[in-house]
Amino acid sequence: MFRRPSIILFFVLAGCAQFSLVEPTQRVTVAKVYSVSPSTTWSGFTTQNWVRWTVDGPLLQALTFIEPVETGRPLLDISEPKNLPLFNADMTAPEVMELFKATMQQMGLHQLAARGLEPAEFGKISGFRFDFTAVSKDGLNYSGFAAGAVQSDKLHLVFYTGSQLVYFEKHREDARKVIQSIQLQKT
Amino acid sequence: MKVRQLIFGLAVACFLAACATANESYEIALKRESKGDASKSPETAVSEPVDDAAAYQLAELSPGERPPVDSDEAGLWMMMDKAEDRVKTSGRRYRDKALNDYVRDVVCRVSRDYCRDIRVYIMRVPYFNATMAPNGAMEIWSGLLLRVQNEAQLASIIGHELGHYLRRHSLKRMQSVIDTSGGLAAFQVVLATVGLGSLGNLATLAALGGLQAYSRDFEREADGYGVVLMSKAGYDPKESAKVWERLTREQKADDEEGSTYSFLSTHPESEERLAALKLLANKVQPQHPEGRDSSVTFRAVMRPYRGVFLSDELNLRRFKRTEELLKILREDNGEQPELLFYQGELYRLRNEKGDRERALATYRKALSVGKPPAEVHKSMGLILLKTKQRDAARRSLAQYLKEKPDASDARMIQHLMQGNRGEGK
Repeated sequence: MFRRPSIILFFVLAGCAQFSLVEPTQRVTVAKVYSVSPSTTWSGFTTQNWVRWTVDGPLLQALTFIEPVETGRPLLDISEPKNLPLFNADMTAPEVMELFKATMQQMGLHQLAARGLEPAEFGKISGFRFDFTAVSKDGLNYSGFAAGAVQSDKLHLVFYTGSQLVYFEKHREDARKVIQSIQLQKT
Repeated sequence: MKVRQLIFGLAVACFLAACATANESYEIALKRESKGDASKSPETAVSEPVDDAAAYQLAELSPGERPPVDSDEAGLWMMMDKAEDRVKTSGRRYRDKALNDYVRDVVCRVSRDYCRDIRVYIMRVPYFNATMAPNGAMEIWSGLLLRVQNEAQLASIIGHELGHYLRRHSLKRMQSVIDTSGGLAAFQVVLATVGLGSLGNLATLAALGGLQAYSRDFEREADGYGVVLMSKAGYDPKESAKVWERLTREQKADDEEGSTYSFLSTHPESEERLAALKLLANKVQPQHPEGRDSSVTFRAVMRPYRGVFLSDELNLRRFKRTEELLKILREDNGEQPELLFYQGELYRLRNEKGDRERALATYRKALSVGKPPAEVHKSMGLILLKTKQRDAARRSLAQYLKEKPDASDARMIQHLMQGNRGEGK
């Protein structure tokens, strides 16, 4: 059943994207609003409304920065699938996690289980974080964590994914440091 | 020889495309049928359905048979063996023993002597579908298990898929593609040489339409096998038509614009299909004196999985269809607390005008008729927080934590109970 070109767009099309090096030398602004200090060298590329950083390749591990999402917009700004759930500024953190899960299921990640939702500072404001696991269509097990907050009625979300075999752990700490270093810029 | 290999390669490519069409959920095919009257062409009026059970006794494949290694069919099987390897390791696959053992048992009851030739894979995909590869690999999707009412209806779909297998429909389809594409190329060359190249496109359309009509005949035949095989296994054959009646209801509730390719539909028209299934069901006699549907066993086996199936369905955010599905499930099962909880979840997630009130009323109804999942209290609490009913929200959230003390989101729930929003607004 070939009804998910979006999964190709999200995970694979990176092969055609224009990569650029992100050196750990200075603070950089990503996806318009996230000012961060990387602790290692990443390769980054922009697609639609998200920016992905990876070291070994986006199918192996990736740190994804979503541009701020307004009410009535999906998490990922793509035309297919058509029924992606929409963000609403009055959503609570558990509802944002539901939004994330439904989006990822429609994007082709399976058996997505999110857990450990808890309050967490994000870019110096009150936000949330949670962990998740998922399986790709081809049976590759992934782990990940996400962090975010709503500021000025817009959802700010960053998440890290990696294959459970080696690559999630390999740069987990680097990803955590990047998220911890986030300072939100005014849009 | 190279030309033959080229045509075979083309046929394989076409066949794979045909697989993609065949693998589309029945829902999509149904959508085409129910909206396709305006574009119905004479080409869709292919042969009449056969309502004689004797016509569905023939198998072209013996139990344990494998095609000769030097045959086209062996090549087809080899491709399917590789595809099956991917299915085996797929992240979509359900591996739970109880569920697999049960479905496997139904497959064996329907397939009888062919049981050992069939491998069953239950896939966590929230659409209504089952597929049968020519090498004996059968996929059954969770969306199908959610939608069939009883074991007899499941058996009818399994019988349908076995019909494709026993009659070697995949091979015939591939051979048809080879024949058609070869003739088509020749026809287009002739047209081009006389300056009528653009007519080649019309020829393509006509030829593809012919292929699909061929496929619709296969579907009719498989329907017949479904009724006969389920009946031989002792199930009530009248349950077969009910599957399509239920799907039609869902489809009619969904007014989203569907595909316009009704001419290319691979399934017979719904009404014709229903009529043929009912006619045939009246003619065959189930082995069991009254024909069983095994509803009780089916529901008992599916019950632990139904919540996950419904969550996956809601994640598709096609609320009209899901609302009709929940209505059907409530008609089948009565006002069960779990079904009412998911009805409430539908309202909460849809979040249209009046949905919060509808959700709260439905959650309360769920609580009044039994014990819904503990998450009902969390969902109520989240709505009450937004409607500024803070005390009631706190009570609901506290009840959630009381019923689910090991909830992984307990810290966030406590945070919300203290009057925080849980995010930065």
